[in-house]
Amino acid sequence: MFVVPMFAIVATMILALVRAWLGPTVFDRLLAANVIGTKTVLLIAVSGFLLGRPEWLDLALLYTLINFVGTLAVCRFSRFGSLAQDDVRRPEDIGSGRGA
Amino acid sequence: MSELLAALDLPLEILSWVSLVLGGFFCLVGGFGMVHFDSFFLRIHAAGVTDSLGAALIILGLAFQATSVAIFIKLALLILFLWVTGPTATHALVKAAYAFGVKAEIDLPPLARDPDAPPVPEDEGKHGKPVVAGVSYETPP
Repeated sequence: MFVVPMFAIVATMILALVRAWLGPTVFDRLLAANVIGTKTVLLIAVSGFLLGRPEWLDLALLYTLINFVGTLAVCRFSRFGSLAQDDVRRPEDIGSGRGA
Repeated sequence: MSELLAALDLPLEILSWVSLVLGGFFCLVGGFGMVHFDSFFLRIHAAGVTDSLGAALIILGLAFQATSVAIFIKLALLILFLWVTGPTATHALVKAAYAFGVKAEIDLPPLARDPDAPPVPEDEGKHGKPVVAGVSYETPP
């Protein structure tokens, strides 16, 4: 019965991929990446139970934290243009935000 | 004790089933909203709101099946982390998009407003002051 939520999670990941494909801004793609990260955590947890190996929950915990740090890092990069400086990146510097 | 556990087996199974299916449903709704809506802020609202509930319900459904205390604690930690980090990431993403100047192309109903009052000045849309396109404060004709 763990197959039902797994199908739902995989379908959600595919929908997120569609949004990442459509764009149009870099933030849509970031949102899709964030959603896929969260769903990956769930997928690992559910498949661990499905295959009778609940120890995989450790991997899921690790994925949660890495996904969070990754999203914050890309947000900061898209705003400041660098991970080390605090110069605010203006839209006219990098165009309309499309395709970045 | 074992008789009590055996008696609880079927209700726990049903609860687990219901939680897993509901969680999957909410995940799907979030994914659908993420593809369907026109504006970035609507999309991130759909995805961000359903993310927390769907993930928590799926993990709750797994917790009803937990065979040991360690697994239960790990699932609780997973819910805790997801509930702390998910909304924070969504918030940071919205702040970054807003500061960049992503437009909120939404169609709000006109506010009931004094028709003699001066019109709301339009924002010039420079950095840090995004234009809210499509929002009308005027009474309908």
